[in-house]
Formats: sequence, structure tokens, C-alpha cells
Amino acid sequence: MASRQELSDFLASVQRRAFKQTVYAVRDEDAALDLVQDAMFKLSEKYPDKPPQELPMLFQRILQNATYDYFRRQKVRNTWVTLLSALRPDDEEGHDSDPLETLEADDERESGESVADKYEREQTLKIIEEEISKLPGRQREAFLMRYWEEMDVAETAAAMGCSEGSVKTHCSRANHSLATALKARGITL
Amino acid sequence: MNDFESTQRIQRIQRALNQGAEKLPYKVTHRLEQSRLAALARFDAKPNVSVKTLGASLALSGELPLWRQALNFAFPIAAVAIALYAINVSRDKADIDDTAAIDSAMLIDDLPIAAYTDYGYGVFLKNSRQ
Repeated sequence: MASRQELSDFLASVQRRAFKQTVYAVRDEDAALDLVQDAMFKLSEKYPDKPPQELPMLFQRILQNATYDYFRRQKVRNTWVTLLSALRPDDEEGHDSDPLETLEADDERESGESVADKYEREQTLKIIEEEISKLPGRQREAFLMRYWEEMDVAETAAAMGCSEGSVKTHCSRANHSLATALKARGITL
Repeated sequence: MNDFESTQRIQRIQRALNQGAEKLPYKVTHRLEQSRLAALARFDAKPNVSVKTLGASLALSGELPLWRQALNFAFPIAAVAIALYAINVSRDKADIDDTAAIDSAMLIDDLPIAAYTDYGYGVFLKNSRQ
């Protein structure tokens, strides 16, 4: 059974990578923060009796399920938005747009272009992250769990709910896709 | 692509990703810290809840396996059914005992003499013979 300190250390060690991993999947920082928080809550509430060595696998599984749920909710929401917007008369289009929203978005973009952010987002890292985001979901999950979270094949398979053979296949394909994509963009690693 | 190149590339990607994770904006790291502390607070609150490990409280919380939850609901129902059956059997037995006592009193025929002088009882005996 994991102690409070062990759980705290585990969450502290994994939270940044979990956030980035989720951003690669959902491409929305706020949504990613919410999903990581939900995963942390579920891990601490539902699995307090699990041994510390099982926490990485459990956390990854919870995070994945939360991400899938997010996509499902988005799909339902998008369906309703499409339906409702189809019902809305054409002459009302544009009336709902708030100039302040645009202004706010512009402000955010400007603040995102600060020197600190430019320094953070080095070109190579940006391209790597872009290419990782473009990977198919299962390949990206397998690749990041195996090579970033440093989970072994068995742990990754358990977290992904698939066979060890599938994990190896996903990792191999992700590796080849990344190599090709990065080479095409002039990144030689 | 050989294994060495592949390993080298993976290690460099890993380093780049680690650098990216280390340079997150403050608002993100702050939010992550807050989330972690909130999760730990929930972990601390958990033992108070898990003390309620008896009966239906755990069954309702969904922490028991399905067969245990079913058992927790089925057991009280079965207990009530058994109790009702036992009450029914005991009442039947009491009725039988009462009837047996009346029958045996009549068979022993220890009626008082005065009963035979009673007109109504005479009619009853007459009708009984018919």
C-alpha cells in the first residue's frame, strides 16, 4: 500500500510529463490540466491501497481513460453544436461574436510570444512535439509510455489494455514515423 | 535504420521532451501543484470513508466486487424470508396444539354433569349424532 509520501512523490515526478502527454493528445492546455487533475483525484481516491510500483501503470490507464472520455464528450458536444447551428437562421450569424473575446485571444497570443516562451519553445522541441502530436493515438501512447515514462513492455501493455506484441508494434511504427517525419523537416537526431 | 541509431534518436527525443516538460509556464506548474495537493487531501480523507467497511455502505460505494455487492443485498432479504417462514411454522404449531388440547378434552369426556342438563348442549349432541 502506497503511503501519502510515496503518492506525493509519484505525482510530483509524473505531473509535468502527464500534462505534456495529455496536451499532445487533446491539443488544449486547459483541458489537459483538468484531465491530469481528474486522473490524480481518481488515483488517490480509488486506489490508495495499491503498492507504489503499480502507481505508474494505474495512473497512465486512468489518464488514458479520462482522455478518451474527453474525446467522447467533445464528439457529443460537436454534434449538438452542429445541429443547433444548422437550426439557427443565417441572418443571426456573427451577432453572437463578442469583440472582447477576439481582443482577449489576441492578448493571449501576444503574451504567448514573450521572450520567456520563445526561449522555452525551441524550434527543435517544437517540431518534435508537433510530430509526436501527429502520431496515431495508440502509437503515441505506447511510444511515450515506453520511452518517456520508461515503463517496460509488460507495464505498458497492462496500462494500454493490449498485448505486449501490440505494444512492440506500436512503438516500432511510432519510431519509424518519427524518424521519417523529423528527417523530412530537417531534424537529424 | 539500425538499433544504435534508433536508440540514439529515442534518447535525444527523450531529452528534448524532458527539457520541454521542465520549462512549463508558471501558471501550468502552479495548477499542477494545486492539483497534486488537492489529490493528497483526498487521499488523507480516504481512511475516514474506508472505516465504513460494514454492510451496505461499502456495497453502495462500489468498492466491492459485484458478487459481494449482490450478496450484501441478497443476505438481508434471505434473512427476512427465513424469519417469516419460522414465524409461520411456529403459529401453525401453536394452532395445532390448541386444537389437540380441545380434542383430547372432548375425548377424555371430562365434561361436568351440569353440561348435559344444558338444552343447547343436548341439541348439539343430537345434531352431532345425525
